[in-house]
Amino acid sequence: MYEKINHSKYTFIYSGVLGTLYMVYGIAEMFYSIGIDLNNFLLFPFWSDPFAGFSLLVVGLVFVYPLISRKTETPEKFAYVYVGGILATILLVTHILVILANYIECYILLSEDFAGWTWWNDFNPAIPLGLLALPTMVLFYRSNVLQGSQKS
Amino acid sequence: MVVVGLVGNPNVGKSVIFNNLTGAHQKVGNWPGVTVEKKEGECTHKGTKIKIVDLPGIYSLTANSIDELIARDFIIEEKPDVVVDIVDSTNLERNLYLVLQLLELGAKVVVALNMMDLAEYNGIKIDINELERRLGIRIIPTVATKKIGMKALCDAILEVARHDKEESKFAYPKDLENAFSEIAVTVKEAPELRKYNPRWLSIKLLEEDREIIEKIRKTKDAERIFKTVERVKEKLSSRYDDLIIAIADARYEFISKILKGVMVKPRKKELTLTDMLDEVFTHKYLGIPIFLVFMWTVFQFTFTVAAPFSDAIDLAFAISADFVRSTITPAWVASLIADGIISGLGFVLVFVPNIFFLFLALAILEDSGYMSRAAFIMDKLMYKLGLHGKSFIPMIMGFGCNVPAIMATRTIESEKDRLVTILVNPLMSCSARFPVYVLFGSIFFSYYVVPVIYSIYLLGIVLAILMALLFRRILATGKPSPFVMEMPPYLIPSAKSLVIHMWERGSMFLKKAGTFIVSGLLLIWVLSNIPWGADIGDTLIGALGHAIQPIFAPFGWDWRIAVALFFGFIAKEIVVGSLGILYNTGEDVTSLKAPIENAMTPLSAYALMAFVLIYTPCIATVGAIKQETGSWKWTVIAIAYELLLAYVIAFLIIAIGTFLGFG
Repeated sequence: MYEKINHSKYTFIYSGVLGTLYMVYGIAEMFYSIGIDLNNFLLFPFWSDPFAGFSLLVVGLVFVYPLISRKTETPEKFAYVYVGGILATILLVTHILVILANYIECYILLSEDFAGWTWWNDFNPAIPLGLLALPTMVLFYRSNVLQGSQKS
Repeated sequence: MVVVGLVGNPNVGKSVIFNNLTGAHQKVGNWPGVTVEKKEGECTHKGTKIKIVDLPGIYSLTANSIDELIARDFIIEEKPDVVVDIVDSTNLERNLYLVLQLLELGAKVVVALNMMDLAEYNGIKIDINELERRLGIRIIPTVATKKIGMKALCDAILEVARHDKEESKFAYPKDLENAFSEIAVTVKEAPELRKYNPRWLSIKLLEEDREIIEKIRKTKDAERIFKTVERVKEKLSSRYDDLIIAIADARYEFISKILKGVMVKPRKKELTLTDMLDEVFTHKYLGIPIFLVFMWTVFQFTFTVAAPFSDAIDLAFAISADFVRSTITPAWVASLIADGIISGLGFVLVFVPNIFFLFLALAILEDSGYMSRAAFIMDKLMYKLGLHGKSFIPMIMGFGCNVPAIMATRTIESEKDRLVTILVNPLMSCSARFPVYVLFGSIFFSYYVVPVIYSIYLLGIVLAILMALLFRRILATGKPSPFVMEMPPYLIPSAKSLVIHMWERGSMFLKKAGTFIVSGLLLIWVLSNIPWGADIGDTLIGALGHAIQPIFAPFGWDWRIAVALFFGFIAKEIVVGSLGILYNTGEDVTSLKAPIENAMTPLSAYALMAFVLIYTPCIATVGAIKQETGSWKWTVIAIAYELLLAYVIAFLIIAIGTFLGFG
């Protein structure tokens, strides 16, 4: 039913590193939204939306929680990895949809507001980080807890 | 024809079974009050017509909430031939409580033992034949989501309807049974109480059921009956400290007894998906931030992802209006159609993608089961803010439309809690106001439009909290009542149910567009063209605008904005549509950009957005407030305080913004 104990250590370490990255980029994006630009250090463009940064920060906290939690039960700790993966995937999908929507505006509707737009304009750390978080979703999918969640 | 009442606890699949049997669409939600009004449907089985009435989801037949009263009164007054109780087979102990109360009421009961697949998956084994024998009623195993057991259920309904009701196998301890008999003798003699089961009335009297006590108080035999009840209570007081608890205990004891040997649960409780997700989603510190992340994602989805679809609709209306202008004569007819109907309607329908995307996102959160967790994590905070935990669901529904949100307050038991929730609900920014935010946000804030709109929604939430605290102190003193709510298992929503839920709510917007909004915009077009050919400022509507504009002068809004706000009382969507007519810019939203940019500053635009958020709700919401409060006084208070609050907040925004140099 659960991941074996000898795998959990590496899972939590991965989760911790991923969570740290999320937190760093989240805080940086929040700073960016108030005019403090750390872009040169962090590779990816940011949105001028403090809530986008806040979302990254929250996902980071969820991923990091198993390392700092006092819980001794491994299954409960895995819950944070799985939920972190779910949240990361939701943010990943949302950001990709935003890029697709703006692509339609620029290249299909030929909207003047999107003249000169490229996909990099809407790129966000949530995308590469979301891709890095995909292994946690694979872990979640392969765990037995997902079976039996029936469709409504 | 056989008349059937469908009852059951919330989230047992009652609405799914109703849909299966009648073919009608119903909401399958996780929220209290999702079917507050009774819904009916029909089916034919073996040549017999069956009329099915879907009653509200209830946990018991006490008089604690309006939902429970609706269900109970239907069974008593309308005396259905059969009552089908939908029971969650994974939670028999709790669900059978309602079954026992139905038997006490004297109803002919059939139990649909639903979610049998989930019970099997969880390792729960139920001996249905033995359970039938012990309860003395028909029990049909079903899996509503897969339409399993529906035929057998209809067979059981017809069978039970044709036969007399059997003696109930449920008995209380002897001293309680004697007490019931003693009171029943007195109750039987009252002619006004003939329609009630005397034993059931006796039980309710000992349970101090408010509604039953009121009914009896109005009878001629009231004094005699209450004297008997007091005498019986006195006799029982030596044995029972609290009769209400004793009666409930007796029911649960009976349930334990009948389930012994009938239901077997696995010994080891394994951690389920629901347990794992709840570990995080209901975390003491992470729960609320996670909720805010979901809300932000909903806004991105609703605004940015839906935007190209809105622009495509805009383009289509622009082409249609051009075509009408170039082909139809006389000019006034062309203007009526192109500038009145097409442009006005186009201004509103351009936001259909945003609204449908919003409802789709909310449906995903509801159907997956997350919304009840959100209510749970917000309860502690809500309690501190003077609101009941169950207020959270109507508040979230208010983001879609305030009308069903206000109706959803019916399941809040305490009248004071309910009143406060109704009064502050319009501050939750409904989807009708969304077009106004999108229009002014896009014009004045471009790249920052999403955080600006998000801030307006947050402003609404903050004001709702503050007003709730104020109302608690002034109008409804005391603490909110305790919050008890079931959290169902998480489910992966099906695409079909998501589309149904999205369509059910979104279509309300379309219906409004086709009725109120078209009528309102036509009225505006007529007033703005009398006299024909005059400058718009010199028409009837110009006169109205100039008359009320001085009220809004401190905010820097011209007479057109004043008129748009005035007509926004009919429906908030009219605010945007009317601006197109008033600025005479034609059919596409982008053409409003230049005149509005010239007429306002970003600060006055933000103040306008806040004003639209707060000021008097639309006519449909006012109607809902009147209906749910039953009082013109509270309806007028709601209108007046919101107008005043809107003015004050807009004024503060202008004043503070100007002071900080944003003016």
